[in-house]
Amino acid sequence: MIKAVSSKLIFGLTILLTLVIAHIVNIFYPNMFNERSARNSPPSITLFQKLLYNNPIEEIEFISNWLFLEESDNEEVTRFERKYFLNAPNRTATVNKEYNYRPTNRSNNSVIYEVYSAPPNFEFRNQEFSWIPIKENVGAHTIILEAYDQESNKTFQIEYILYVNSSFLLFGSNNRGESVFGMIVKGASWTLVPGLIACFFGVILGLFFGAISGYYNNYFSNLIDNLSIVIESIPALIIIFLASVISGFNIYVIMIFVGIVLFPSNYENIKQTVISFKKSQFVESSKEIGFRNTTILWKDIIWSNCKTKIIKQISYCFVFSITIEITLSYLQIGIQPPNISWGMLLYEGRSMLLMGGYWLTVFPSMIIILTLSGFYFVGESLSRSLNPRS
Amino acid sequence: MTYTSFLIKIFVFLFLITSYSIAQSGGNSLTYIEYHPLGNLNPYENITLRNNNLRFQSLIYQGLFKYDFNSEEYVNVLAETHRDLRNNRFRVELKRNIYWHDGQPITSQDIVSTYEFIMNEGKLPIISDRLRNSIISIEINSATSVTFHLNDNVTVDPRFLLTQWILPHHLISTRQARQSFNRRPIGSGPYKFESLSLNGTLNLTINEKYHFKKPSIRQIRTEIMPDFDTASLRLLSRLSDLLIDVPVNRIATIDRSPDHRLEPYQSYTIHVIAFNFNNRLLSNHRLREAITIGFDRQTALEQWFGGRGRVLSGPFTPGSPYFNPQIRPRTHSQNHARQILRDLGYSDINGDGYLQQANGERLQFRLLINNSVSDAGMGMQNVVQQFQEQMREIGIQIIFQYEVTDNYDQRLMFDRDFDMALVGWSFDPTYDISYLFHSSFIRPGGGNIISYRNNQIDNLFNQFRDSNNNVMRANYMDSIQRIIYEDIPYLFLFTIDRHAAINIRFVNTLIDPIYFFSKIEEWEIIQGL
Amino acid sequence: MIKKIGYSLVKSVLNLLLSVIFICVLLALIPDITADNYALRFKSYFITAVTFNYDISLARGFYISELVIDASQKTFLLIFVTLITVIMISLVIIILESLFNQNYILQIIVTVIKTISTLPVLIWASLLIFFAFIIWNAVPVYADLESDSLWIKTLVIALPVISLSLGDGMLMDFYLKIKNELSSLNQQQWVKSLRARGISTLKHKIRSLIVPIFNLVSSKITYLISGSIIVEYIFSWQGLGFLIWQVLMTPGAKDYPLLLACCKVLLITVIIISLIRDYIDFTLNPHLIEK
Repeated sequence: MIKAVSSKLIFGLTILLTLVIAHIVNIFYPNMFNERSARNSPPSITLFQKLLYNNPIEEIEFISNWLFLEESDNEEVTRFERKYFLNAPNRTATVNKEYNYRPTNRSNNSVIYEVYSAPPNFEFRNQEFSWIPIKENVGAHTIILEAYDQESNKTFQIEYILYVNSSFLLFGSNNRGESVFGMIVKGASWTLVPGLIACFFGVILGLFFGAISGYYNNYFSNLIDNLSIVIESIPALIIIFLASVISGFNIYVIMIFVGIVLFPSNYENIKQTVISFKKSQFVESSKEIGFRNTTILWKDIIWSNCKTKIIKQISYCFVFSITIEITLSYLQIGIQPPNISWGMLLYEGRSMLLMGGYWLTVFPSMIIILTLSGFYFVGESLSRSLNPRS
Repeated sequence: MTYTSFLIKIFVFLFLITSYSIAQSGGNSLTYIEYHPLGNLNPYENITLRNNNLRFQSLIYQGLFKYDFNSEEYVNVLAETHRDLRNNRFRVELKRNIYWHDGQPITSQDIVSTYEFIMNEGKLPIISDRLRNSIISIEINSATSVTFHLNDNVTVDPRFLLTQWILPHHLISTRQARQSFNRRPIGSGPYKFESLSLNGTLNLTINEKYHFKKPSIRQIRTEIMPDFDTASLRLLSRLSDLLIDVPVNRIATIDRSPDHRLEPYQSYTIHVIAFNFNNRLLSNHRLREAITIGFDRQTALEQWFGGRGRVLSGPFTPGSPYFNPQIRPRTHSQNHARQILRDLGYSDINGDGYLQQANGERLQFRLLINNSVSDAGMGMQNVVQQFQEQMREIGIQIIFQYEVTDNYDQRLMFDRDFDMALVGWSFDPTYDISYLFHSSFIRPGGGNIISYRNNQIDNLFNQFRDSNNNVMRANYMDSIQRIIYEDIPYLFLFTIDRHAAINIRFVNTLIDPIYFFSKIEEWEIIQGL
Repeated sequence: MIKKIGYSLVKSVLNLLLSVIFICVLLALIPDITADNYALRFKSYFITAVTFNYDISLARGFYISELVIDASQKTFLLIFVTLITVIMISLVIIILESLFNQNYILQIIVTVIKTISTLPVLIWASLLIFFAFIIWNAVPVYADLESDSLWIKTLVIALPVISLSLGDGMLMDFYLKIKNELSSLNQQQWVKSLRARGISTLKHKIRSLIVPIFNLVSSKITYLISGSIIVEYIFSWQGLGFLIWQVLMTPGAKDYPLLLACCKVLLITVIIISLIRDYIDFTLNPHLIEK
């Protein structure tokens, strides 16, 4: 059992660590994943891309990395090619990556090379052809280079087809060409800070009020009791919809209300624990010894006995806040563009499913499952390991 | 039972389930999908301003005249003849042998009581105010003849005022009768009301005794599906036949489906970015010009809407009456835009990528956007983001401000609290653009949200309103268009075609852009598809 | 005991009133064209909420009472069928686990369901509708309940129920709770002695499971209602939650009487369930009365 606990804990902690790293990356390097490729391009991470991808999406034909290139079957060209173009050019180029070709011939120094026909924005310096294709250049282009032999006063041409690949991104791209991986990383910034706000208002306030009203049974505790019953009986999503409409889709204000929604259950939990411990022997003896009430409450009861519950509450709080944030941004009443959230990715991906674009739904869903399971595992395993009785 | 037999039973069950398939709809009925529930069945007690009400009303009710958007003229429906008399009087003769759905004949009493109902108790203030300001009184000359006494200031064709749906007098005269009418409406149109469920499903059957050409579709049914993707899937599964407004991100899928056909229709809506002239920087004409030519509208239209629309050079869409194709939109040129900004004195002093004014203030504007812009598939949302990126390339910073519709209306129409705003203007058949540009509408609540003041244009609008000569009116409007083209009060983006998706077993489907089913008599069904 | 029940009844009525006040406080923060003052708005909403109105809803043309009754039928159908399904499925899994002890495949299935049920209800609903379209060419909405085919009628109810029960870990919570209760029961002395005598313990186990299950139900009911709003949106059931959302999202003049009537129905449901929970607590656990 010790092994099982530690593996879950390690898994959960790695997920938390990646979230924190993603958050830091978003703050300090916000432009790291700004690379664009062709719109709606499939991911490069899957090896079965060629099999799954039968139809082009939206009139852009994709040339996959595994497509076999057509060889030139013009024999004359290949004969002269061998003399004046000793090194064959590379037939593939990738968007936003520099493509170079320096034709060489060993013997003759009096050969001057020139470009006869090529796509625009190329450069030809020091007898080297270089070109950086942009995303609109995806497809096949014909390039014709000339070799002018000054001695025999003849020109020889080489014509070849250059296939420009869209640069395949790790998890594919969406309708605007942005990388899904980058957007997932950017969406991770809405998991930690809003969760912390909800945690403060839900767990910490619940802990504070629950402890006080459980220990001191006075008018104040009755008031908070009734308040928590009132909040508990209203369906959560109604309060949250009202919150998003009132706050003008400010996620931080919405998270305050999420914390308020979570407050009653935490409050009651802590309160019942405190009440059940209040009657026990060690509390009575501590009182007789002369410890102060605050010391008994906070150190003995809460710190020693409620740690497991609090950790579970914290992890559930994070899970709930992330779920609410995803739901709201899916329904477009949460995080607004240009900020990106996982819910927005899923909304965009829903229409792509029928056209075979699975990557906008599958990858964010997997990340959501991993994140939420990670929080659950951390909560579970920490609470189990901290439980003094197990 | 053993473990293996249990597993086998589970697999057999799953296999049986997945091999089931559902039959599709067919026959002589049309099922169409709406996104929002219908309002009150009485057209003048309905406060929701959505167009879905106009659609089903055009099946049940009829008016004296109707405006045919394709031929751009008024057509007689219940009226036989009409005549302009002296002293602003307009006489209308009804057709003979026309009946309500319950068999009663249609008389001039119905017309009078309908218009009085609209003017006195109607709940749509736009229509009630317009009629109250234009019609002084209505006289009954005979059982089939009515004379309208119009106000002096009426300059439009009187038939524009008389396109309202006519309701039966015997059912709306008393309050009690009206309550039962609101539950079971009676009209004179080709379809009779059968039932409206609480779920929003409306069933209509054909009016057997229809006085004009009877349609070939015998039943029409409305289904309400608030989620766009569910509605598109329902259409593709052939359980429903017609989707009124296809969201932008589903057009490609439905286009490729062999069972469905996309029918484009004009939207009479222009998408613009409004420049608030109260902003000191934006009141400079050259800055507006730089912003206009710095944004590539044609590429945006092609990328996000597949080219299904048209880039605008002014407020008129290609289907509108005064559209001048000679005035072409300005060409996109980033270098020229940068040059203009340099000439105006803006430069990047601190090297952060954005331009600053002489006092060091960054050149930035707030763009007010309605939150429902991403409702139908992120089309305009993508356009707006591309606008922000292209402005960043020429050095202007655009900050988005999203608002719910209510707050957006408040800021746009009343508080005028914006620098730039993404607005969609929709026009009716008269296409009266003075609402947007005349200085008398600068007041809060008026349509001149940009506080645009140009005396020349004011005079031209006044002359246009006072003139009766069609040639002179066209000239005035042409001059107005040219001045607007020079002045650039708005960044006119484009107009987008809306699409309806319909099952291929319906042919000869002529669509009206606003009422949709105006020509339902022409629709035909091919059996067996 | 009657005194206790009366006391809890009075408390629930007070609870209802306070919840209504809380909702009105939040609602009045939304600016409206008809009333500029916060106090005016709050007062009008509170008065509307407290009185019973039989007026016609401005936006829909039906009577408010008709709309709310029809919508509540749909919402309650969804919620109760979900609850029954969840309890049944968790019982089935527990029985299977006890039958096929230490079976790896079953454990793997349970773990897989546990992980994928962390997805929110929204994603489940949209994926299920997509798969229903691909596999059976069916897009089940509420209006399909009038069709003849039994399979479509099953799908219309089954798909929303599956997405509600699997989303947000509802099924897993019930499963874990019932499993914990059963395992703690099995360790009790009287169960062991009954089993040693050969007497069937089923009746007693069910009787002692009712209270914890009902406690869980009453604590989960608000989350079920929240989930049902989303399921109603996607599957086009016009239930209470969907009506509330529609009223909030329409531009212009909003139909607040309809919204408040729906909120009232939902609150009354929650409070009735908590009342029943208190009653069951008192009857089945009489030792709680002395507290």
